[in-house]
Amino acid sequence: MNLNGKIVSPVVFCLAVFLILIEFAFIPYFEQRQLEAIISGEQSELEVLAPIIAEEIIAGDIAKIYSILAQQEKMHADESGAGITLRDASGMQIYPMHDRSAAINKSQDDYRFLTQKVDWGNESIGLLTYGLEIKRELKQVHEQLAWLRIATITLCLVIILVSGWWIRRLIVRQIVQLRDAAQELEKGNYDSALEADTSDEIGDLIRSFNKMRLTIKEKNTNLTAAMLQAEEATKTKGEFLANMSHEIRTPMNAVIGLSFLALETELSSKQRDYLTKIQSSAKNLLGIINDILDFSKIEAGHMEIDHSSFRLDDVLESVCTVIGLKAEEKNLELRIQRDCRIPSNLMGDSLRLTQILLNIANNAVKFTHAGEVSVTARLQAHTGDQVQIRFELKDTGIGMSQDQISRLFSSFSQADASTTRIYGGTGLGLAICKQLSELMDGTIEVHSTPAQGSLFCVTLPFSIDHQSTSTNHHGIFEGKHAEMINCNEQIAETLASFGLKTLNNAPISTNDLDALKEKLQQTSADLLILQDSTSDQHSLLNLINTFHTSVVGEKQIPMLILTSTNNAKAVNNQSESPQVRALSSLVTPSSIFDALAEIMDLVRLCDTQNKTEDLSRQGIDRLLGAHVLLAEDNAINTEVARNMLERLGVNVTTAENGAEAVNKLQNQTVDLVLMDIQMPVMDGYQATQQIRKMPQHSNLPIIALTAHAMKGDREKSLKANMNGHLTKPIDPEELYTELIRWIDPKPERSSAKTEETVRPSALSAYVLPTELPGIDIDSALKRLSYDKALYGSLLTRFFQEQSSTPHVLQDLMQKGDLDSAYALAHKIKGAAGNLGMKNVQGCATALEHALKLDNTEHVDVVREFEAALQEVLLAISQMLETNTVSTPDNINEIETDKVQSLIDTLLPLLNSGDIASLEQSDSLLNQLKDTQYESLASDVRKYTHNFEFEQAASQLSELHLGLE
Amino acid sequence: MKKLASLFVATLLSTPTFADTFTVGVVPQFDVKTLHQIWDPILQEVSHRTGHSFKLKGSPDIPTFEKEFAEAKFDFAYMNPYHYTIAQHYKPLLRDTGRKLFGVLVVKKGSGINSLEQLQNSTIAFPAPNALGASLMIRGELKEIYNIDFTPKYVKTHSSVYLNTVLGRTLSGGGVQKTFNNQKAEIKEKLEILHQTQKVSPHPFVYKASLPSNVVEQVKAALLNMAQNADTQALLAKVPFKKIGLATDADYDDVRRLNLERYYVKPN
Repeated sequence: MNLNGKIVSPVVFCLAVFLILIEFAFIPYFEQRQLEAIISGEQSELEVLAPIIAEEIIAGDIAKIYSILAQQEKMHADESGAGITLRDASGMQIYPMHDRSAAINKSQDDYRFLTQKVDWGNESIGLLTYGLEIKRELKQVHEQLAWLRIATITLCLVIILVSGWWIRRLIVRQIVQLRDAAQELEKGNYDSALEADTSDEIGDLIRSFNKMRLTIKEKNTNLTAAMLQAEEATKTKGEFLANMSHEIRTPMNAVIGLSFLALETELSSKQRDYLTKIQSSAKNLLGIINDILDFSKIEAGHMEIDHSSFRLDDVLESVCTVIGLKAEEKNLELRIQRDCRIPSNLMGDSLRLTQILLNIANNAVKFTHAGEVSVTARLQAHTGDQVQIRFELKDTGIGMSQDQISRLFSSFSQADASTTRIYGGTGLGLAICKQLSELMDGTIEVHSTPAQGSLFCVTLPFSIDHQSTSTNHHGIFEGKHAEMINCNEQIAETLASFGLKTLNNAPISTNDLDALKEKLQQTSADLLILQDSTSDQHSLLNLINTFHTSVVGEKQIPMLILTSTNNAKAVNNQSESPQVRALSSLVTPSSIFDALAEIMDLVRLCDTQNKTEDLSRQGIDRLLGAHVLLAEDNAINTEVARNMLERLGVNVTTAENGAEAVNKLQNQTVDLVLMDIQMPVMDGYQATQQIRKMPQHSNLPIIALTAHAMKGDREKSLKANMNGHLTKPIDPEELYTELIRWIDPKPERSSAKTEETVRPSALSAYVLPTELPGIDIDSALKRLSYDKALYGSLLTRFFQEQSSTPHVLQDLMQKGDLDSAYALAHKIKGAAGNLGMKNVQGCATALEHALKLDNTEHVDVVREFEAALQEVLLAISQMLETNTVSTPDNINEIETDKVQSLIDTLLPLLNSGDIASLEQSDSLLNQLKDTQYESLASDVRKYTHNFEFEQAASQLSELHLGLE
Repeated sequence: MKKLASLFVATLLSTPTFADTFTVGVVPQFDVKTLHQIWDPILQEVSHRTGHSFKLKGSPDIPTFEKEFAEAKFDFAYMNPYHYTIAQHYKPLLRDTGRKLFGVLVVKKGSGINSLEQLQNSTIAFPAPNALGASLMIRGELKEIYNIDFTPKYVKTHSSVYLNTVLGRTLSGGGVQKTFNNQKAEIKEKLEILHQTQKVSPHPFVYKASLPSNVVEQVKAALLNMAQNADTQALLAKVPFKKIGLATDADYDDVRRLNLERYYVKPN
């Protein structure tokens, strides 16, 4: 009800009461009075009539009586049956002629009968009766009263309308104006002035409103200005961050890159230690910077959530890989569980999901000293194309109090100030996780009990990627039977989801070999799956051996063992059968699927990760001799990148800016361009455009190098027709992956594949002699920027590839296949040149010429070539033998006294937390290098350097016991 | 000579040389208003035709009328036949020659009375003692011819006679055919005629014998002429003069023979 209605309603109520009173009290009373008046009037008329009638009765003039009474009735317009009746003294009816009773009888109650005696002198000669029809009379009264009703109702309506109009005019109109003005104000129109034309309360209200309006206007103007200022500041902050990101990353690039390169050179243990620390600190710093940038991006609303297809198992496996190492270091059990009802292919932002899970999992590992960390993915809801997945990350760590939990997700805050001191960290990680979860329309919650552990639950929605899901191979296990031993429900469900029919799940201990053997022989299944989490490595290996010896030749059933990470490694190393495979319990359904498919020899499934690994293993070799143009203005960055490339045997041409790069490409052909974006003279985007205009370079791979980590950089690069994007500081692995991806293998520089290709990084242990016969080590090293490890590996590979060359060449010559011989000579010429084998190079060139000219007199040339080749091969084989001798298989003798004294010095230092312990722990490790105690000593040193003195002391005690 | 002189004087006095005014009396058988409604148009027409003025002179009741005509207060009069037989100063001029006057005796239907003998010693209602057809002639006949004794009850009007009979207040009642016919159906249907009297000439229009004959002739001619015209005849029919014609003294001899003077009640 509006205001008008509210004010008028009391008036309406009063008038209604008034009308009711009139209708139900006044009118009945009035009617009664009216009726009585009528009755008494009629009675008097009868009294007047009586003597007249008496006279006529005496005269016998009945006609006169009829005339008089008819006249009387006519006056009343009363022709109903209850008019006047006249009877004589004997009761005989004189008037009217007909009997009225018939008409009256029907409704006796409706009549009031008035009587009047007709007297003549003292004698009663008749009786007049008048039947007054009450109803009829009342009706007449009602009709008379109708005007009263109409008048009253009209009056009431008039009062209501007038009062409504009056109130509207006086009050409501102004209030409505006020309301409209307030609504205008709400919309932001501050100029809707109102006129206060009354001096009453409403007038006061309007005046106050006007004042308020002006105040709000003023404040709002200030506020808008402040907001614009703040927005400007935020924008500036954003730009500042982007710039800072560039400015910080450039030196970080230098620090990380150069320390990486420095670590590849020959160093003293102290230098190596310092460099390692520099590198890890730099990486930590980079992590912190990335956190801050992420956080800023979210704060600024610049974070965009990707929506592309991914495999949940890939995410879980990458989380598992990263934290698996750390968990292993801390001796923590890591479990990964995944609800097999979750579709394997989902749509969403896998990168951010990984970031969230890694962050929480890292914390879990960080804050847990003993026990286990588990990552579980559960299907919480599945509606149509949407799934809701609940990731539970549980640990048995230090836990948190309720108070700590409440501050957990706020930025820059950790559970406790002391936490920062003990565990480090920016305190941004969980804030980022929370905000990322919310950006992905999910939630994050935490349950924890101090000293018992924490449970983080991240619930996120994803849509199902049906297109990718449809390409799975689940059908391949259709109709196969699997025998399960000791398997838990999760595994059973997973197997069932593959379409495998699972047979009974026998609880047989791994130690009970006989029972197992019996099982193996009896089973009719196509597959055996054994889950083992309790047995030690020894009994498991025993089992495998038993499996091989007893079952081989009879009936080989594929067997999958799910056990701890260490056990799995041991089993896989021990087992020679392709049909036995062990997986760590950190398995996702897809890895079980792949393993099963492999051991059952159903289909060769290679997941993308393996492919990438294979690719990088093979690809690095084929980069040898490739030509890369590096456009980069910063000298240090150029140096870092050049070194990284040259380590792989890649030839590098540099350019200081885009224009120079374009110039160089006009008369040079390269395999790939690494293009910095921010450069003087001409930036990377412009340069790319110029290069693309050259017809010969329209397909040249161009990879952007940028220090920008802000949003959209990758998109920008791809939009500028670049093929890829690398963020500085350059991660060597990423760089190699990009190079392998874009550089085509060319026969003249790719070496023949060998079964055992050794990765350069694994060869750091090679000890390079100062001199090798027939080889100019210095010149070769110079070419490889003194990367001895790389050189060592290249020499090794040369040895492996070319040791058979003399025989091959002989064969070819005898067969007269000069073309192949020519190709062989050409290949060796290139490789020898790169490796500093000047003699071999010269001989190969001569041979090449001879074969080209089809000179049949090339026997001498061949002989010279073979001799030169044999010389270097021999030199390399000697070098390799030397290295084999120096491998750490042989344990040095321990100088017990020295070690004992070191331990005696170190222990009190550790107990008192003295930093002098750092140096002592280094010395201890040096003493125990290449001995069976090296790993323990290394632990002591590690804990000491991490200032975890208690841990260090306990490890030291263990070492002490071992020595005794 | 005296006689001549008086005649002369009378002639002088009575003979109008220019428009004279004459009074017309009418037996008050209806109320005054009705009488005027009937007679005023006729008298106007007669005035117009004769050049004399004629005025109705009403009488409040029959006795007054009788008294007045006995004193020759009217120049012309319309009276019942019995009145004529007793009126000494008047001579008949015109009467309705289309009908006869007679009385009827009515009884209530279903009363079981079918002969006059059954009325012996009963009360019989009559309008008035001297009403010719309805009272005098019936009383006369009952006494003179049928020798029946009865108690008359005079109830003023014909309608009352019929009502008294219908209501059973009297065993029978005397009226005339015309008034009986005029009663409402609800009354007529409850009554039946037991007896009709002999028929006599109806009411005569009389003139005072002393009037100058030329005036009488003028009036006679005017009235007779009026019967020739449909409009004026309609006026006459209301009197009722259905067929106006000349009346003679002999026309009323049969009335005289009934010796109605025996039954005539002299007004007080």
